[in-house]
Amino acid sequence: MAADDGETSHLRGLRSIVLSNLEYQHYWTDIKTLDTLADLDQNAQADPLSRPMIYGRPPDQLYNPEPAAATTSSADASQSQKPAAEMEYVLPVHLTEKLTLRQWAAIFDTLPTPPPSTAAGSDGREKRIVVAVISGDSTVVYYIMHDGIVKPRQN
Amino acid sequence: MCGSLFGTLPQAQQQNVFHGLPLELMEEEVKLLIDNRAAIIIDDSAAHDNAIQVLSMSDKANILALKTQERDELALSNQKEAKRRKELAIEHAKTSGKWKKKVPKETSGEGSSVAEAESLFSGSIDVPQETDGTTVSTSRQNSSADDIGNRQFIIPMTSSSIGRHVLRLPHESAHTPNPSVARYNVYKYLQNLGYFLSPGLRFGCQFLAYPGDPLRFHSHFLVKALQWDEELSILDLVGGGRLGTGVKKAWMIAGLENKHSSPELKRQEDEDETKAGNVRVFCVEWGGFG
Repeated sequence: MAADDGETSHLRGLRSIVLSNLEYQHYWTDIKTLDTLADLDQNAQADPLSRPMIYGRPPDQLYNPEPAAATTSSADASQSQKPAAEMEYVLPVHLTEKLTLRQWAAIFDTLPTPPPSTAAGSDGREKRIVVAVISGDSTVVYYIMHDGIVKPRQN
Repeated sequence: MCGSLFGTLPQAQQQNVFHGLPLELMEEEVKLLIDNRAAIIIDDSAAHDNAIQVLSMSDKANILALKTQERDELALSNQKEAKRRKELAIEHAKTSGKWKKKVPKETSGEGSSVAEAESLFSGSIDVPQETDGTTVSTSRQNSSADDIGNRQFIIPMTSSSIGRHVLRLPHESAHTPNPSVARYNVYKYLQNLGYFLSPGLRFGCQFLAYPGDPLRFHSHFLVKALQWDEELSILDLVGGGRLGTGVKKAWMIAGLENKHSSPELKRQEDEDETKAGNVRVFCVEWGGFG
């Protein structure tokens, strides 16, 4: 258990880097930390998550499958009320880590299924996470990972 | 399934049609075809030897007889055609009134040429004796010339009769493609979903997945197949995500789900037991910031 605790504190350390990076460099809001299943779903038990995560709202909608729709909606938004961007799950990882498909699947399986997006009228999208990769010089880069086959946005 | 077209000169496909394979399939494609019983693998050299051996003397005689018959028919029809044309020409000449003037000259002139022709082509063909000297000699000249020029030898163009004598390779043969299990599972999964897959070397991945005909669409995904418990470095994920985004594609990692979990991860796997044997797919793109 001692090694496990060491690992957890390491992952929490990573998360704190990402947390401040998101908050102060990328202006995310409504940031919450997720440590147990109960943080995801109030009815669940307080089992720890396989990895600590972050839940937050980016300043702009992070992923728009339709580029054309994105430009028109943002043009509308500048005139009227800007629609709030969807909340995103962020998974901090270190650059030197190695994860297996089993671990990725486990991470996705603990996340709740996203509700059908109301604005686009499309049926429920695939689960997605934002992978925050931290390198040794504390640079953080962000990648979007989808669970399932999702068409790339610029095509 | 498209395969990859290539010749010895891939940029000049008109040339060297006979060199090399015109189409090469990926290992996964071949295996899928075999598994679906849409194709068999034959041992080319063995099949060739076998096909030659089963070509018996009687087959040979049959083929030769058939060829001779075809050739004779061709010669006969050519002869008839030439005669018909000549007669038509004579009719035409007669009606236009030129016939009578020319006859005396031609008969005097033709005498020597007839002799020449007969010495040249003596015994080549049986000419029925006719009373009209001019017609006979010219038509014979025509027909014998035609006969030589048009005597065609039929060249067999298909190897279908050879194909019947194929030797099916045993499944354990070294020639049966044996792609890695992870790659094959992912290939089969995406193929079943209607994606067109091609080798991914050009984009630094294992497969390119096209949503349709590769000539009509850009590929959407750069696919990397993994074993369920194969470790993937985060650096690879960063590289893949950057690579995919750079060419307006998504980088996809996929693998067949294996429910028999390794011991250290068992606790995470306990809750969902429904999706056994599925291929899980994750698509990675750059986040657009940071």
